[in-house]
Amino acid sequence: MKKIFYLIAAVGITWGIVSCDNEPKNPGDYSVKSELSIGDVVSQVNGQVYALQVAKSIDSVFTNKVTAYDTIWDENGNFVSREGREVIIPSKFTTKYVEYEPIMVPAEADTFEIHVTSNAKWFLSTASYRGSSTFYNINSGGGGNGTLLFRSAINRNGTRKVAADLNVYTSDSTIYHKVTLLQEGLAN
Amino acid sequence: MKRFYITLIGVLVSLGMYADVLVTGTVYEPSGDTAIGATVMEKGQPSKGTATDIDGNFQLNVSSLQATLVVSYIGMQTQEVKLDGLNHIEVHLKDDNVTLDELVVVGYGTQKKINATGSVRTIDSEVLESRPVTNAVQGLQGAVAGLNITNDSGGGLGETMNINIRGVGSIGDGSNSSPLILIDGMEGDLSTINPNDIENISVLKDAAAASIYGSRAPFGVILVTTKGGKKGTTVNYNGNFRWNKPTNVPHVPDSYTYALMMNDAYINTGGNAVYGSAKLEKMKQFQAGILKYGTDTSAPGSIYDWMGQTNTWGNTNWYDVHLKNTTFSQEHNVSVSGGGDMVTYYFSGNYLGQDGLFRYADEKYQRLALTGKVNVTFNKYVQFLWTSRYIATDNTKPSVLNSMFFHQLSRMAPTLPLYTTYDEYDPSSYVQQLRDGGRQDQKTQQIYNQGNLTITPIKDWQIHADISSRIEHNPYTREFKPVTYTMRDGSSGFINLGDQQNSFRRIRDNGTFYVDPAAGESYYEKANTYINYFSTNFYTDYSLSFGENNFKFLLGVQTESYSEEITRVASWDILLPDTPFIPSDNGGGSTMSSESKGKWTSVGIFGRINYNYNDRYMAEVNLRGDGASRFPKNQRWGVFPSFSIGWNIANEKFWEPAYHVMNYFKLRASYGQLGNQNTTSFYPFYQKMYTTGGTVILGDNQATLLPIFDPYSTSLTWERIENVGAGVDFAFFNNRLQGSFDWYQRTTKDMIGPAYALAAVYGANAPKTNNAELRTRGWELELSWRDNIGKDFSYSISASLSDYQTVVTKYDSPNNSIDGWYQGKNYGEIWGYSVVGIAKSDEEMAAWLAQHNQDKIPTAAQGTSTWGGGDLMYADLNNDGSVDPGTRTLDNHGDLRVIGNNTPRYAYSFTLDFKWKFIDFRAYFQGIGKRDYFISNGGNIGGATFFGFQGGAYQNALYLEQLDYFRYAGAELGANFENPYYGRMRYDDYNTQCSDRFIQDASYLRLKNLQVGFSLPGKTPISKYVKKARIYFSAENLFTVTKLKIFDPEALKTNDTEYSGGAGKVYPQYRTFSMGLELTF
Repeated sequence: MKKIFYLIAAVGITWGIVSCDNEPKNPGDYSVKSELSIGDVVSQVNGQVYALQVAKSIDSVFTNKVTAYDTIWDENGNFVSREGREVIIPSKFTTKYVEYEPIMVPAEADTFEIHVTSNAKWFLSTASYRGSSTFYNINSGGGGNGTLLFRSAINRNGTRKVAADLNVYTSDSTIYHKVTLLQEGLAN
Repeated sequence: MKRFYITLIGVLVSLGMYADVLVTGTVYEPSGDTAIGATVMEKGQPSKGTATDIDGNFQLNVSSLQATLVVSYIGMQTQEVKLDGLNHIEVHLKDDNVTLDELVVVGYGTQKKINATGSVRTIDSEVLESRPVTNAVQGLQGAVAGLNITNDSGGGLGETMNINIRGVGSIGDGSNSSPLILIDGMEGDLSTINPNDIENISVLKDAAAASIYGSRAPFGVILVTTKGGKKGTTVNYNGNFRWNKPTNVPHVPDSYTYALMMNDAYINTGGNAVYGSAKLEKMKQFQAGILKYGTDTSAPGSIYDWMGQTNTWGNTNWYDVHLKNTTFSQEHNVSVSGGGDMVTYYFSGNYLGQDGLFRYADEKYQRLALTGKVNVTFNKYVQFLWTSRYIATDNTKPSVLNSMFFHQLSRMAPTLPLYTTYDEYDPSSYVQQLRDGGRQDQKTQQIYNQGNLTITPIKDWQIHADISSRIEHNPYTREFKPVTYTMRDGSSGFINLGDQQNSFRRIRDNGTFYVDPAAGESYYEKANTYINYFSTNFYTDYSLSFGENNFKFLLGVQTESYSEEITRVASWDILLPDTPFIPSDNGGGSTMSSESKGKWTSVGIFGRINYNYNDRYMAEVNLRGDGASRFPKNQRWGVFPSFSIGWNIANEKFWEPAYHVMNYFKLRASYGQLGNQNTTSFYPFYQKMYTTGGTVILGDNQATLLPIFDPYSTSLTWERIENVGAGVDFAFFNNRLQGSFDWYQRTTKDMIGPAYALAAVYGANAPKTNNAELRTRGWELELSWRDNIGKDFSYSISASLSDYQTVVTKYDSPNNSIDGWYQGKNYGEIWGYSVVGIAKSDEEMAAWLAQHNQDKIPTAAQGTSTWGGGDLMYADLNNDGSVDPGTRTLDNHGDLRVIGNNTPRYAYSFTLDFKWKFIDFRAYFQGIGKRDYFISNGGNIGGATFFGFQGGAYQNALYLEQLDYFRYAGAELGANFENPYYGRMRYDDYNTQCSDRFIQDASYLRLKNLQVGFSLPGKTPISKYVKKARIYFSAENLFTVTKLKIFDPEALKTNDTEYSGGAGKVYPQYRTFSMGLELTF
């Protein structure tokens, strides 16, 4: 009787073992932090190097605003319209913000490159804030090490300088570099 | 007092009479060596037994010195030794030649295994016993080296497996290479026969063995011999209950993870995230139970439709929704056998009932098999055997449970909710469609009748007249019923049951209907298949011996006739969907119908001469002439010879010193030619015209077009299969170790292939002609060892290993396309790119592209797709600065090379058996040693079920395994850039090209069956009523060891004709646990 019991127990254990199904794990490593650093601005036309000097380096927290266009049920079972409602989602992490001293480039058209060293996906945007837009980014981002490309058109605004911010940031927004670009007017 | 002493003396004398007596002795093998571990028992006293020690000695207490001892030893004849008063004996064992006298079943008779010169393997029904398999074919997988039984199509109810002997014999361009399956001499269906009726199965592998069946068996024969009646009444019950659990179910991510994967794919392909942060937040809230529903009524889009996957925020694992954890099935078998000197009989009944794995499908497969065999021996001259067999199967399931369903199931997003806000099943859930959308029902009814008359006019001369008939009626019905649901606005609508082609109807060339009813449309289809097969065999054999010379002659004639008729009719807009019928139609156009008929006949005249000299030298000659209706009159006849020889060296004088070590050593060789009349069409040389609906309007009606017929070849004739083989059979240590090895080459000459393409202006395909050639080379090894330890423990180990490779040696390929056949192509070869690695950054990829442009790779580029970090760097093998596929021809294959072969190689199995007292144990392993596999949808681009996407965002199937894709630091799913398996996820084909990086190792080792049984001990109070009682636990597919990702190695593709979904989109395989009882009265 004891032997039969052992055997039934063994069958049960075997059943249990073979019934286990190993669910694959996500190999993603959340402990790897984003890194992003940028090199000097280099002219593709004449090879001139515009050295970037850090003006400010701080830690900051973003908030993210999203607009909801949907409807949900509340706890009483009633429809609640969220049409056009603004939802503010604060970032749960701190962003390293690096701002550089502005660089001045000549009025002539040029194409510039900045070497990016990173282990993350990064994005690039330029935003003019003074005068007509003359700066345009050629690529809008990249992944890992890469080259950031932007160009300038001829500044025909007499002596007036134009300016734009060139923003480079990681996809998780934990590192943000801001380069202010100035361009002399053609009459200077 | 005196009386007391007398009584005492009497008791003592009595005790003395019953006291045990010690007997000693020594047991010797025929060689003179002592036998270690031989079993010595007192006859009739199972409890009094022992085993010999290392010197062959034993000591045993016996009842008296008049007892009889039973001495048994593996490989020796069991001996009974009467003590006759001796208390010390010597026992000299004799060789057991039973193994060598073993018979193998061959065409039209049996042969002593020792004298067989062809490659034949006969196995008894043990391999099928107590196995919770649904058919005999499953049970045979791995049982015989060279008998390849494969299944890539999952475990659906009633699913059949592919069988071939010694690999693929034809590349299917007009002919097939399935083996001939004969059940008691008549062609039959091995997947429906009652496995409990099988006595033994013989596999005739080479031409020497199979050539007696001529052109019906060019690729081997499987001979199934069923049980017959024996003297003395025996009633047997064998039944079991089974529980099935699905295996290798895809691991689906939760909706939030899924959405992030989708976002990555869209962004990496140059687009924007498809799930915004608000939607992602709602997914989290739904998962946390904060939101009750995963959808609502306010989403943009049609008011009729509930929201699609990108607008929903549910969290549904659709495999969990649809698959049961466990399903139940049962099998019961009762047989009665008996008779006397004149009449013996065998009757059996078998029932199998199996439930399906899908929760809402209510699937059921049932089989009822009834067999009756009566053998009448009229006198010593005349014997007559009548066999009738009735087999009915019924496979019922929802009409939508087809390959389209499995395709959709793999694609259903976890974001889709199970319920709508009306607390109904979401219309995309497939629940209502399965439950209420109509059912299909495939029945088969087979009636076999056989009469075998044997006349023995004189000793050693027999005349046989066999008449066999098989009648099949296979009715089929399918229905689609309207299914309603509550739309978003609260009104009622109909669910689409198909792939939304809306009222699509087409009659395929083979007469079946491909339909896709519109939402709300009812449809009813009915088909009847009638098959009538009739064969006769008249043959005679005569044995002649003089001196040491033994001859056996066989001469016979066989006729076969086969006809089938399939009528199919369908109608839509059924008036009463719950009681559907085909309405009368006066031409109004609400019905569809088709009919197909076919017939073939063949006649064969055959002869065989066997010769052996003193069981030492043997030879066999076969000659068969066949006529087949499938070929034009002037090509109709063919003659096919075969020869084989054997030499049993162990019976030579000079072998005597080694005989006690190696008592059987036979060399054999064979050559044979066979024809193949098994063309896929019954009338391959007739022109065929198909009508088709045209786009032209004549009068007020759509014109029917009659395209020009495909041309046919008047010279079409037999494929000729040439076999050359050699083998060796051996036995060591008095048959404890036995084995065989075979090498073979099979060449399919004059294989049917396409002629050179005709000019396009002709408007039809080139005819098929006998212009191709295929060669298969392979080998097979089988070994077994059996022994016992002590008197209670016996064990055996057996193993088989086989391999083959097939190459196209001749083929008229107009352009040598590597995607088709060409001369020199290895069967199953896979062409693809070589991957250097995954670029870790845009910079690395840019540097790579500067040297090796990858723009010519067909990538189904979407929008602003570009190469970048995380993408694959493909090798520029021809160093031309560009990675490309050339023209995909042998002459210009660019940077493609052969990167693998999907032929299953090194098929192996091994079985461990042991028995200890009343417990028996059996473990049966089966596997494939080498197989490459690229998981695709049949083309050169990876399938969605393996890569996540295929050819666009629409075809996606995301699983947890795919999370091993390239991601930079800061990714929401975590960084994975050091050593990812996949390139970055994208929905175009940049990173899913057929390449060596993604060739899967589809080899596997599977514990196919494990069983433990307990038999009733020999002497119990119920022994006089029950001859044998055994309870057993048996499990099938307990575990599998494989490196193959995601999929079960036997569920890689679908063969459903409705929709070819691709890899993994099949019915899941399952693991079976069973408990059974065997009783013999």
